[in-house]
Amino acid sequence: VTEAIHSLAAVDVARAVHGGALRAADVVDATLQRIATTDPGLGAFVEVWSDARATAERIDAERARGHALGRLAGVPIALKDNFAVQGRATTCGSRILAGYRAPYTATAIERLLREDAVLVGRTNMDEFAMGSSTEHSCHGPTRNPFDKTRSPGGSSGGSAAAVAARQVPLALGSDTGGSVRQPAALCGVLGLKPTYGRVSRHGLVAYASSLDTVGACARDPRDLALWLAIAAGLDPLDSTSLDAALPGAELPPPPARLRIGVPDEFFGAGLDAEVEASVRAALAQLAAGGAELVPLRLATMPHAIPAYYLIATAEASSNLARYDGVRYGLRADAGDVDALYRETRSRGFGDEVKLRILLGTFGLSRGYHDAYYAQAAKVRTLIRRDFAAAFDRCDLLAGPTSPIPAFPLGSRLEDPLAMVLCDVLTVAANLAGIPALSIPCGVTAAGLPIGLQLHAPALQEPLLLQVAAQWLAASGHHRREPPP
Amino acid sequence: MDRTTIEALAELARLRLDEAEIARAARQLGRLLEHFATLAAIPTGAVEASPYPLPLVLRTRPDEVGAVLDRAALLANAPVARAGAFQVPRVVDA
Repeated sequence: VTEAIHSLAAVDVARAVHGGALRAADVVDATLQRIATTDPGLGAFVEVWSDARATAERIDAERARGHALGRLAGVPIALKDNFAVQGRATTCGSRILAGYRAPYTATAIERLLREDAVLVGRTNMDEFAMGSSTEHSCHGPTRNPFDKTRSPGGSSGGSAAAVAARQVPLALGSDTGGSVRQPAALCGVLGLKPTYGRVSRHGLVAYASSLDTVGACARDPRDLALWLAIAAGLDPLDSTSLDAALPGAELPPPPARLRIGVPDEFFGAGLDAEVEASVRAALAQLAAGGAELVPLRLATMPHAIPAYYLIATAEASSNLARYDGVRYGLRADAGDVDALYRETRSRGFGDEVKLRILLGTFGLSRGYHDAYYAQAAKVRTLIRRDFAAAFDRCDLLAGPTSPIPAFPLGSRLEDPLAMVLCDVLTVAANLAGIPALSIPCGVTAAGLPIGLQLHAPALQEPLLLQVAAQWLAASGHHRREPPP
Repeated sequence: MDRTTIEALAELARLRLDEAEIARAARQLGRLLEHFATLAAIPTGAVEASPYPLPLVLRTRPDEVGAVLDRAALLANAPVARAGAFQVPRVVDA
């Protein structure tokens, strides 16, 4: 192994550990050293688990005894701070979970551990995954590795920044409305949102249960294929997990004929000119490589943001009712139990979470339910039908992931609509439950990364990753490193 | 959105908002709902709602006792625990 350990793909780390070219302990030492060097001034991690070395030593000992190792042997992985890992703190970026330690481990994490992954810490996020900038966190903001005056996107900004900064090859996130794909685009890495139900949500702290999806950021599409092959599958502990054939860890062969739909609505008002130029150039390269570009319309796209926000906040207002100061986390002392709930929640939740709880409560309240939540759930049906009709005419849909590149920290905090519109191109995949992938496709003149987003029909993640791998092998955009 | 509505929502959501928070919420929710008003104009009369993105099959399992989380482990997270239970301020007067 001649390449620096911190630049290796997860599949290459695992291969090297299996073959004895690297010890897992050396990998974890290099990883912890890399994080120690690069995280000050970046803030991708909220906690680094230095005891990861003990896990690595156990893996090396297993190998020395001749025992078979798992498919992620020695691979350092970071987790967004909203996954339960037994005995570890989970805060979701919120004061209200101060002191909480998970009494069990999320299924998605159990499956990584069974394959001998080495978990190295928790990454920063917008509080309860509500936000698109990783600024709404009780731990402070994360910065973009390509320009530390700018946001990494969010809400999985810590995970995307950690992968971009070569701290880890693979980091888990959650994607409710674009929270893996948008930060991946802004940080120049790949971000996969699988099909709804593909990966168990058991142990992922709930934001909006009909939209929440476990996803991952990586620099190499082969790493996402391996991750999904391990993480996917039915889980009795999540009644919405899918009982479907598992995707393979190897990428499938390229399709004989690829039709890529290009909806006009993906290139609408508010799209940055440099983002559009970069994405159109990527589409032209895909066409030059043999893909057929199919112009089409997705007429319901303008309704995706209102439908998404009304559904997501309605579900959030219900899911977050559990934080009341009784069983875990922060408790504000008060004379009676009602005051205890009220004071705990008022002190524990940040402004953005309070705003979304109020919006969700409004959309569900008497007199407004039919006009807001119920109407949004019907519009969701129209959006699902729109995507299904589009996939009758093409294999994939393509466009930008984010309408804008990374924006300055603090620039969108006071205007909730400006922040909401960061998600204008990502929320539809969550409403429709389909998989989508953000792929680095260039940079602006100022050096800020740009993401190309591909959507596929349900369960077609391998096609997304195959197309990404083939195109990146030619374009090399995934190899662009942030400045030191 | 007016102050009375914000206060009613805060009551339902068990939140105490100070004056600055009420003003901010009124301003920001008003702006969001103004943008979301386009939704009302979409004809959806006969359209069925999608509570989930994909058709889901309700799975059942045998009605058997399975592994449960340890009481002590759960109470370890309690802000205040007493006699093997979560303690809260008195709810019912003796």
